[in-house]
Amino acid sequence: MTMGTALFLLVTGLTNGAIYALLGLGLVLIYNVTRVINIAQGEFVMLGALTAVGLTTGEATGGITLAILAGASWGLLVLLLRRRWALLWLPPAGALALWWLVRAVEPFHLPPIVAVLVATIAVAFVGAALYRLTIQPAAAAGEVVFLIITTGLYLGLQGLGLVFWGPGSFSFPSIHAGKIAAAGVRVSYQSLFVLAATLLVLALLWLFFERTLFGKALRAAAMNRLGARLVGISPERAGLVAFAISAGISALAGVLIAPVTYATYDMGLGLGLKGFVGAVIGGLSGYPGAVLGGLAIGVLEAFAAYTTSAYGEAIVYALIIPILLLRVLTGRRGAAT
Amino acid sequence: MRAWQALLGVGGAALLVALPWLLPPFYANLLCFIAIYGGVATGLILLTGYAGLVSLGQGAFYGIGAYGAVVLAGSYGVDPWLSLLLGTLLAATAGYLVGLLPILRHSGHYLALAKLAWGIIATILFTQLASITGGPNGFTHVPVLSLFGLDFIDPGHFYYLTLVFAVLAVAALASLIRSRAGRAVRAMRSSEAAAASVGMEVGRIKLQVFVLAAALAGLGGALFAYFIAFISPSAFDLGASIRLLTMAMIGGAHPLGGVVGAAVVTLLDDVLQNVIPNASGQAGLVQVIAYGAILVGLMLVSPRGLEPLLTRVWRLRLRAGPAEPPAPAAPVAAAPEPGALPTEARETAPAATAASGEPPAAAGLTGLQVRGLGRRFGGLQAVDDLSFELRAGEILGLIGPNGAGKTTAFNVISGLLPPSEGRVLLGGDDVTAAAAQRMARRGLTRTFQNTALFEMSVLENVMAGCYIRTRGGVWAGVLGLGRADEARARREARRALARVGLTELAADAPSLPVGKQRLLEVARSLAMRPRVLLLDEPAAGLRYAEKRELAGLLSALRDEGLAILLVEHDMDLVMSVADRIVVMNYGQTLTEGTPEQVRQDPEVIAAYLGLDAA
Amino acid sequence: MSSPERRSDGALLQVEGLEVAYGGVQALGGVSLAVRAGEVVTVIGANGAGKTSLVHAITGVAPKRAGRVTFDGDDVSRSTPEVLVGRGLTLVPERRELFGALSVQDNLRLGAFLRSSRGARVRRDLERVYEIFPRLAERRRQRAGTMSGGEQQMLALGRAMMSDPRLLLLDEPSLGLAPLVVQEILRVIEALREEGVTVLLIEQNARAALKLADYGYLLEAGEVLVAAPAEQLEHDERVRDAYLGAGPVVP
Repeated sequence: MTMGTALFLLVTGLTNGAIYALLGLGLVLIYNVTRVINIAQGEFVMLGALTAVGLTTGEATGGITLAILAGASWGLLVLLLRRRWALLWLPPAGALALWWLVRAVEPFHLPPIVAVLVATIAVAFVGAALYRLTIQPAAAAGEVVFLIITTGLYLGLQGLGLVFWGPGSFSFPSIHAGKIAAAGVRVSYQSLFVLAATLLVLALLWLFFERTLFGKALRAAAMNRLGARLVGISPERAGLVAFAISAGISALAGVLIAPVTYATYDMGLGLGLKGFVGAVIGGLSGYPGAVLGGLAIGVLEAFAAYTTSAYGEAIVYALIIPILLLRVLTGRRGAAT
Repeated sequence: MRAWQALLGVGGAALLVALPWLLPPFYANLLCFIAIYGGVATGLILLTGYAGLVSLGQGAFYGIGAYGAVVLAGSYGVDPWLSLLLGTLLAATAGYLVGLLPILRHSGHYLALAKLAWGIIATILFTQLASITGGPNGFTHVPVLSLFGLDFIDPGHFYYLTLVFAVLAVAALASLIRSRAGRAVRAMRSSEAAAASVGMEVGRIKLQVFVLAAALAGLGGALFAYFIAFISPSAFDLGASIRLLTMAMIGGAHPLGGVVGAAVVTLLDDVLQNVIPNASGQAGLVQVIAYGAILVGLMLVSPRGLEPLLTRVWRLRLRAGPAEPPAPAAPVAAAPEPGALPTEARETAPAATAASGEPPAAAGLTGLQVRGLGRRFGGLQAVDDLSFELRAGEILGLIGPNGAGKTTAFNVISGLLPPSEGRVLLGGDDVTAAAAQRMARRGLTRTFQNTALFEMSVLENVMAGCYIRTRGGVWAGVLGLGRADEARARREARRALARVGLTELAADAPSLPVGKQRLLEVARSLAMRPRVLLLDEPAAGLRYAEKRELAGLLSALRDEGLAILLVEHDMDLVMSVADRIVVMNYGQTLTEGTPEQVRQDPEVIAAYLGLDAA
Repeated sequence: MSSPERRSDGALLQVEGLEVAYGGVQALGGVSLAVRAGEVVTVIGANGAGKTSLVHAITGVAPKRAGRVTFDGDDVSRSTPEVLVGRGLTLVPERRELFGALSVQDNLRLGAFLRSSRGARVRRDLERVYEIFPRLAERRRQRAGTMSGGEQQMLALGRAMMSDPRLLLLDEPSLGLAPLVVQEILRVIEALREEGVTVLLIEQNARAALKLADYGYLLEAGEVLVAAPAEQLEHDERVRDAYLGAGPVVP
């Protein structure tokens, strides 16, 4: 392997790794605040990428439809819980009206930046609604039940992705086509953009968690549930916000990666799992750890794919087993408490 | 009534055999799938429903069995029947290797995710090892299974093979869960700490259960491969694992759950395929979304599957039949039994000695010695240089204000937490940092402050207490062996229950009122015939009369030579039954003495009522 | 034995017939008590008497089986702790429940989470907490989890004060603390009373609590055994018996 190849692989790996890092961040955020391991995390990536594609090319508006559906169900649930029978017609009617509006305006040809924003917000909203509809009602049930619920969400969302967009693969326009040569390696602008955007998201998250009271409240809710309740932070509200932010970040990751690898309805699971492997390397509860872990996975995958093309993926997944082993062995004794 | 039940059984069996003739030919196909998935899901029921372990990678074992069998038979000319066995063995071996990882001992999500990763790795291998498996295009040279010239090709014939498999799987599960090992599996799910405290080897049992489920998946996979005569990696991917998991989750915790779940899912598939117009290939999508919706909905409505419903029906049927014959009131005095167990019975010998009035003298009769015990949590020294000695035939009270470190000391001594420093000696042997299950085997057991009973009947709970004094692992349980041990355990359990005065043998343990739950925990401990018994607030939640009975029981046990360490908030109780009392404060021994000494000790009064002594 | 005359007037907190059970274990069997504005009321009792169950049920941390809790005239029996904090009823829990990885200052700021829109008053309250606990001011950048037990208790008190409470529920503030630290915590409670904060003090350390309080309740086995003005309770024989036993139950 020449120096040039190695550098090229490094950049490719870091680009993919940045996406895994964002996914890992989302997973860790949800895990910290709600103790849910979200198998469906990658589906937010898929929804984000395909929604943004739809909004720029006008081909389909599945993500928006899903957001409308989720909003209507959420509204129905809240009305049912409050026994406001007389208002039950409101969410479906509102949803129909919105949907009709969307269909009327179709096809969309939004500028990419606007499409990205709309897609991110729509997916964040879907994430929050899914939390309210499926996770919060099962809050008392425990981690294993959460795992099965999110497995169900993974299936459902992937199926909806296929319904909305079909089995084809879609491309999202690069911010700036072409490549630049640096240190003998040609790097696409999009790769640089992915890395820069990841750094930006990291910086924003850091500011949010370190510099705002609301961000600290979210951390507090993750650290100590009872303590948080006693100062007025509702764990349900925290979970909702965590899901929304996490889904939004993942959607953004989807839009970032779409110009590099094509976006398909089934792109989610693999990405989500690699994000998870990265997060576990980082300890599953630390944000910097999740980022470094994700980057490491990306680089490892790039080199593994170059040397043993067929088994690259298997090697990455296989990594999870020794990592978990290490975690378990260095952790406290299992049976206690 | 028995005859009626037998008739029902025979009728059911006849129906199962006759099904292919009764239904249109097309259904034979469905029946085969239901039986195959049913057998595989039955293994998964053991994991998810009974042991509480989630597997998102069961499709991998299913695939290993399938590829293993048909590749051996098709490419290497192994006899097809033998290949079924070899495929099963391969899957079981893979299950063993995956299960060997200590991850298995870790519960919950780590395990589930490791399995998920393993399932994906296996799919990649099926695809990439193309020279063996045929790669993504699949493997086609599947020979035919034939017996005495009869070829199993027609679904109507193949059905009987799959039926045998499903029936064997269900029978194995039904037999296992009622056995000694099955009780351990169910006990682990209720409380790993309590399971370890009665001596169950939690890690080993999990491994065995896991291997059994993998073997069933492997055999099912092999049958599946012979049935459809063509296999490709997509049949064993994550989707397959989730499908199997859905079946198991629908089934819940019931021996028939796997078959019911398989039937529901398979018929649902069929309905969806036929009802939804197939014009645009939408059927597959709806199926996937439907699985997702079923999983989420089921978890929200009934996380334990359809089992609660099925169990209700099952109970109704049982109630129609004769109930468990009532236990003969066993003699209350626990004189050495004629059928006493050889292994540990000798170690209860002090009982006889003490009862005959001789004071326990030899060093071997020292129950428990704690020397300089310490335990830190981060910066907090919860227990600091705690020392005491508990002799056979003695009740030692351990008291102290809230936060004095009693519970931590208790957890360290019983092996649930390793100590930071110091030593624990049991009968003179150093057992420092031994795990709870080893402590149990050496004759030390405990009860729990928030009773940790197993979700099973009262009698079974106490039978679980006989675990270390009986034999028979998972394999014996599957084969229904060890009936003599079972009968003995049942006898022992009845005796222990009579001892504490519990008569509701068939009741569900968690449904008992608290006072009886505490007594049941004591009975479960007694069934182990321990030398040292650690009681953590046994009187909490008991009424006055119940406390008196408890005090009487503790005194009687002491007189038989048992060494009892009692942590209790009810001072009246402690003061009246304890021979000596150790008072802890700030993790340390504040003082030690007789109840009266302790009650008058100004330091103790200050520790309890505050420093500002009047 | 709860005293009926304390119910009649407009108490800030009134608890009537509170019952709590955990999985069938009765922890509280019909407890009634009242706290009037400006008072320090203490509930004393031995381990396992139900003191923590009582505060958890009052604040909605744990479910009640029966009974009514009235705060400032409103029925708050079904309120959650996060709502009660906003109404001025704040619990300082037994285990302090701090945010260990956050700084002292962040912990205090989060104490005022629901008041964060009122910047100036929150800042003033923060300064006041630092005045009362100079130790916290010295360590405002330190992580809460790295502090000693006494400092953590001070932080827990300070965090609760940041919510601008009208009634502070203190659950065993002296638990596991060295005698000198206990004295300091008690001095702070005294100071809070001077400032007009109403306090319901749950304590095992009966003597110290009764010295401080206006009125006291002795809890035993989930029921109020004695309710009396604190100075009377100080000399009541039944207190000692409740802690160290009255004598054998078994002949």
